[in-house]
Amino acid sequence: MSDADAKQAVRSSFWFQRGGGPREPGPRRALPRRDWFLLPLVAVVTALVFLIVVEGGARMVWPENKDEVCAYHPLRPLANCISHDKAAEGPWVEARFNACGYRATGPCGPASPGTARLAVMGSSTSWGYLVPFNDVWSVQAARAITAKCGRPIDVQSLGGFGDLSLIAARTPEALALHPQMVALVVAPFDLFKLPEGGFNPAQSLLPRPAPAPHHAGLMEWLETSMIRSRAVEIAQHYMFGNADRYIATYLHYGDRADYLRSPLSSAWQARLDVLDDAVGYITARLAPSGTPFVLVYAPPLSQADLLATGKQVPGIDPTAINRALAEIAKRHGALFVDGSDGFRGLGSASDYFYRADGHLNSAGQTLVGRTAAKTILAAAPAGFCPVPPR
Amino acid sequence: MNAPSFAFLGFGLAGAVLFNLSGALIWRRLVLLVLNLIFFATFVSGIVGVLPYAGFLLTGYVAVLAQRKYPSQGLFLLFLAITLLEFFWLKRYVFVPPFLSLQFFYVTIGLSYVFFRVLHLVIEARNDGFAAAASPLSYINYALHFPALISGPIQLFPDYHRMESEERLPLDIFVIGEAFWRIAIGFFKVLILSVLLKSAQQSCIAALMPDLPFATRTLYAALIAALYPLFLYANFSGYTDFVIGIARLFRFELPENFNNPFVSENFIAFWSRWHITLSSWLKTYVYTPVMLTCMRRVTARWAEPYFAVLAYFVTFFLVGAWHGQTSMFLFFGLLQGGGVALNKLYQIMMAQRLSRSGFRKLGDQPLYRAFSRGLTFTWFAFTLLWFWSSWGQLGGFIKVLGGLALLTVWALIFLTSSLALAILAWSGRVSGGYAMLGSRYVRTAQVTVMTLIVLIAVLIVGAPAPDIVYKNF
Repeated sequence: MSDADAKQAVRSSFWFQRGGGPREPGPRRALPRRDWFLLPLVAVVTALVFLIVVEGGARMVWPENKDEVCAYHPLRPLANCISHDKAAEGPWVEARFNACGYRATGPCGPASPGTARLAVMGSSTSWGYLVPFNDVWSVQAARAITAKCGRPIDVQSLGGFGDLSLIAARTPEALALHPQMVALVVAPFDLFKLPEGGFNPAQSLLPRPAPAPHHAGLMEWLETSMIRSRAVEIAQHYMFGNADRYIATYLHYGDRADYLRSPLSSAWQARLDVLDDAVGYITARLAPSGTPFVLVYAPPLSQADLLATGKQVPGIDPTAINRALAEIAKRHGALFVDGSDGFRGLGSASDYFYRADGHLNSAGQTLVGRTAAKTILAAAPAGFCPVPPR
Repeated sequence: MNAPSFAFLGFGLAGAVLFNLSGALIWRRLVLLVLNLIFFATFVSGIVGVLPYAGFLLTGYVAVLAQRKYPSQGLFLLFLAITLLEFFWLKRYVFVPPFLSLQFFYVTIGLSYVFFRVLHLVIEARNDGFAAAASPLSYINYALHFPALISGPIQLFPDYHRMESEERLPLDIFVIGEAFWRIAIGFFKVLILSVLLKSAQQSCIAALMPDLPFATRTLYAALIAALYPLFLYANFSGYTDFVIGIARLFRFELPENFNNPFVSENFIAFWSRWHITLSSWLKTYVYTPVMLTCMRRVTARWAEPYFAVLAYFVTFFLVGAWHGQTSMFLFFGLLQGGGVALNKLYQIMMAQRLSRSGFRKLGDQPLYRAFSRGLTFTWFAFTLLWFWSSWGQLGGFIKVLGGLALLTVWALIFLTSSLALAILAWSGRVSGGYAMLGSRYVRTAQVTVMTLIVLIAVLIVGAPAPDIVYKNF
């Protein structure tokens, strides 16, 4: 076979003919004048239709109600109030508040004879916002302790929504319940926003002036619209299900994520100082009655993901804040429940949180409750366990 | 600088404005040189780390110059060997003794693709059409052409040089619109589609446990295997769409790398639609020489089809093996080469048994075509197991599934993909009949939707949960 024949045979045997080569110049094209108007119009109309359809669809498929008509009040939840709320990511939840405005297993009067009482202070996580009451950490912990010690425990959650000054200011109210133990629940986002004017419980109970009207700029309006969008919330829910992506995203979030960095930044040190003042204030008021105090730490998804996956990130210390909190508790003679302990080695923590919302869901609250029961039982508090645990 | 990314897009747009300020050749070449070097520098962390790469480029350039001055087969073979060995050494292939490896961090970004461009020049240096490659400016701009640096496509020098110097492609509102359309598609495929597909596959891997019911295990395993090719397509073709769009703003037309690969009805056809520039390069420099060598040595005509079987095997073994440095990729290469070789052998045997026209008739049967597509997809998904997993992970899958579930998994993938791809091919034929679907109005709407989705996703990632938690407080 000649060389030319062989080359021809190869060419025809192959599966792919190459294109390329210089082209003839085509006729000069011009966009019709109407298109300078029509094309931007198509883009705007498409964007509007798309956003309306997607947002409307998301609102229909994933309804949400976070009004929390009972708990969203300046000082405390409303008395004898029932609310029905739902995170887009979770089920409908009923929250009942008793005559004192507490989410509780019973009335807020004197506990029945033989029943111990746990008074819980704190923000949303403390009373189980968006979680059925039976799954809230305190109820789960109380059940586990009762199972070991035999003594029923009545849980009274005083929490609502507020900063550390307001939470601490309600210590006398907690003491008035004659509890066998008082608990304060904190999460990093409780610490992030410092009380206005510093830690000042007395000031926090005074009536506050109505906030001045606020005119949002375009960027703020855009950001608020994004935050309130149901479609965005659902997209977040699925995106944050991937621990690696969530951790990587979260760690780029500057000050908010700095509690995961060691040594802790001066801003976080200042926040811990406020907590130190709050714990000191509470324990000083509990001391005369000898009521034990427990500081409960509820981790956020980012930290729980780091502990669950065991992922090592340079410069990141997922337990830096836990050590600081344990130190504060120890300094004031309080028991420390590290709620992040239960997440270690789980593989993924995303199933324990409302990922877009950020709060612990039923599974997460239950996990923290188990850790709390274990820690409290190990300390063998006489008020809960008159005899050593079985 | 990643591709696609908004940083790359900004860099590309600013560069394109600068590049198009003047039509003077020297201006365009110098702007391109500066852009190529700036882009490359974004991957470099120190002078020492760039020296091996620079050495590789310098070897290629010396090879071109030397061969143009002293054209000889001996010199060509010497530089061919040096270029190949240098590449294997820098990429730390498993067969390179560890003590030979450089003990410091050095940049290798896009080296596999630069290798093909440089090797192409080393092979062709003596040909007349390659005189321009001897110019240092042309050489470096071609080798480091920034839109195609990270992952191709592999453009051949004559095509590149023609657009760089002689044929200045038009850049009107239509071209700009089309470029942005490709860029938006690229962003959407990589940042949305491929992320969703990869997440779904990872979730299935995490959920696959030995204590699950048989049907659930089988379904998860089938999804694990079948989602990866889709992810890879969205990821790689998305990247290619993006860089083709960017390059077009510089009046360059990069070659296409994908052409609806999953509608292929056999594995040979698949490789003419998947990573086209790689298979095309290897067609020119491996398949053709192997075939020619065989034909020159054995003149019996009956043997010719079987030479193609051998040439296909060698070519696609190299396609597979090139993808990585470990034994997994050697096996991946064996499966690619084996797949196309078997496919060719089947074609030869069927043509002998049914005659060419009989085989063609069989190939026209809708059911045969549907199952052929399904089998092609299934085989590709199977070979990719050696692309994305490890020997240990594969052993784990086998242990979790067991023999019967494994067979069921592949049967499920085969049947489902046969049906799904038949629908895809049918919808492609149907939509091809409606010119309106390709109109600029539809494309504008398409770009708007994709851009909105990408922007929302990027904003979500940029503003994670802590802000949201307090939205009601």
